[in-house]
Amino acid sequence: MLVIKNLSKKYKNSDRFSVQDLSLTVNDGEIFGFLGKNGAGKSTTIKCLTGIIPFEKGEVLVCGHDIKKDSIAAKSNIGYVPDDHAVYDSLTGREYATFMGNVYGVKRDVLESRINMFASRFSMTNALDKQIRSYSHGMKQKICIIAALIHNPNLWVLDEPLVGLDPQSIAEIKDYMIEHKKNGNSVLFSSHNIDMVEKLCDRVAIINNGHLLEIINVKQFQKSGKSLEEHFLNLTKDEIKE
Amino acid sequence: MTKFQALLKFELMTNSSRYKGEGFFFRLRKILLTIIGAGVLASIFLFAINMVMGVFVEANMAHEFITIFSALMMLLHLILGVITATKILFTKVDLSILKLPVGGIDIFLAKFLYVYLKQLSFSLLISLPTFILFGIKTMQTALFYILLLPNVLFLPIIPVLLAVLLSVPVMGLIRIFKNKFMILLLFYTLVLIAGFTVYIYVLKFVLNIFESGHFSFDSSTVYAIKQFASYLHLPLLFKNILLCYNYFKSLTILLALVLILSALVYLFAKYLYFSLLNSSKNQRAFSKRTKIKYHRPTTAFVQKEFKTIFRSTNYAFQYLTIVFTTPLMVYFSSEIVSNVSTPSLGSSVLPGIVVLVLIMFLSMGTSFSATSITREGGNFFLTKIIPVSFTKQITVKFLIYLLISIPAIFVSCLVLAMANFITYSSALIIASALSFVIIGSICNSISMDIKRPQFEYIENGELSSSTKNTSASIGIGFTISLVMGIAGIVLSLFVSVPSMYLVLFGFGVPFALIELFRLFYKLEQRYERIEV
Repeated sequence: MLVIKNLSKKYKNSDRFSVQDLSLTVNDGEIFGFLGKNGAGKSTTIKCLTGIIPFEKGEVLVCGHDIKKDSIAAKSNIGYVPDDHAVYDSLTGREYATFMGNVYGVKRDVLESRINMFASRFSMTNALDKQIRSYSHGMKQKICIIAALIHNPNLWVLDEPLVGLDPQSIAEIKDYMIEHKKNGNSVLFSSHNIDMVEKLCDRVAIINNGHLLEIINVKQFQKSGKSLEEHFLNLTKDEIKE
Repeated sequence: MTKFQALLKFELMTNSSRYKGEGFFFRLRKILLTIIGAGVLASIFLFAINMVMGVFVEANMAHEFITIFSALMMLLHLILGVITATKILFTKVDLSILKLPVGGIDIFLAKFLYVYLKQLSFSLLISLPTFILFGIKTMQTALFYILLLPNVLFLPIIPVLLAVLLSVPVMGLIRIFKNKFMILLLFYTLVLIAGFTVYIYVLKFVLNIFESGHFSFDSSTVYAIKQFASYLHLPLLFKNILLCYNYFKSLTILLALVLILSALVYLFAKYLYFSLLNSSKNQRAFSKRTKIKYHRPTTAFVQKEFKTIFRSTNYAFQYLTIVFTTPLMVYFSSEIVSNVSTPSLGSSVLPGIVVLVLIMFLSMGTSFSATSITREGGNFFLTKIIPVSFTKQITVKFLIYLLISIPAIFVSCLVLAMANFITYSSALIIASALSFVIIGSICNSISMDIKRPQFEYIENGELSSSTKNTSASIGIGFTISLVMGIAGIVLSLFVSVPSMYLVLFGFGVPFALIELFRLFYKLEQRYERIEV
């Protein structure tokens, strides 16, 4: 589904790499977690693989399409939820979802049924015709999620998706992640919530200072009886002390 | 630093955020440029007011001049005060400030002081030099100059106090019309037309004095002005204080008025303001049930672009209002410039004048395209993740600007032809040639924004101040307007009018082609390099 090979990214006006020589693969029908402290390089990696920011070295393949060379095909397979729930807030929720559906080429009937289905599922039916400007933080996050899923993407990418959401919405999103995975699609998300990552993910990547430290198979790790939280803190301990 | 000082500093800092995120030298340059710009505008104003003042003094109406000037300044302070007060007290308030351990009155007072200081700076820039000029012209004593400073400080107080009270019904009107986008667009267009018409009439009056070298009121006008001034009771108090007539009586009445208004403002702040503020933040949201339709990505983009411009008062004014009023502004300005120039140069210069004025006004509208990328703000990432090529996205933006600007050029030229400034054939040729110039200008403006978008200027999801790219776009537009206009005037005077058309096309067509190439060549790579 997603192949990242030797990805390196250095921002303009920065003398160090935000992500360096990072390689990983996300398989079909898998939920993949990204763990790391603030500034570790999680968001930068996500922004590189979705095409938001350019990168100097490496290769990103989404469903076999190179994000640089064949970007339109690669992007057609991604649904992205940003960490800052940015949307065109002068539009209504329905207008925004319709716009995103149109942009991804979703046909009218499918579009209508998906908007209604997601709105009902994420308790957004009553808010759908209101201008997004009036939405709360959680509602904006939910409309972003609806817009990201409107074309039923093969790869659903979420950057810190559950911050500020109510417990019902969190449960709903977790359920949909599992459902999305069951349909043969993949989910990649970054989080600080180690408990949730451990419960939800098949595999977890731990990233620190732009380097991939380890990829953990959660089920196998759980069999060892160790705590993922302790393991994560141990792995990133030196840097935290610094 | 006391809590009140901290609050005032907070108001001053949050309301000058356009300098945010920039280096020291950039801020210094911007501040210096602002001072120079304000100085130039004030000088032009003083030059004009000096002439008007001369006419009044000559007609033995020096006192009437001070009264009418004070009245106009108070009216201006009131209008600007209501705009600022509504923004500072209601629409631009971060409610988190209410959670701080500071008194409500302190918060209100800091906001009030900010509104007053803003008006005071205006008073110091305009009223103070005008009064000094008046003093010199009418040979006032030293006492006049001593009384002048408190007058300048006092002049904005009553309008600001009134403005605070008036901000409540204004806020009510904003609530009613907030989501009536078409009504708002019409309202702003009418306000701009009215303001521009007043400006043109004042300019005509000044030019008339300047042109004839002498202007005097006839006896009936003098009588009417004197009668009018005698009814301006509040400004008369200021005139009396400044010129030492009934000094103590006038001062007492003025102070009493300030005290009454201050008491009303205090009661408003204590019992009404915060409940109104909370209710203003819980307004009914704009709601519209839309049918879900399937559109091609390009059409979906056009709709989205149009809605984001149309539903923002700020953007609709910056672009739609400016472009819609262009024909009227061009007509008035051409009339003034031609009145000044044709008696000495002849009517053959009119096409050149039309070119100068048209490009100048169109540049203001097209400068909006210099924020094509910047305006995306936090949503910029969306333009990167969607499966639509950057070329297609930029083409849509370019076409939207073109679809509004090109008709504005043709309508402006048609209006000028109907008013007999130019012939219909000239109008068609000029409009066609200028369409190329505008295509070039729009492409150049978008290219600048792609090269260096300025997302740091976005506040609360909207761009509320002009960016460096906007200024550069206007600067380039004005330069082209001056060069092409002057070349047009010279050519039509010394060679022939058709030679001017040739030069217009000779510049416009290559300019459009070069800028189109600059915009679209390797656009994908250049757009991809933009970082958020």
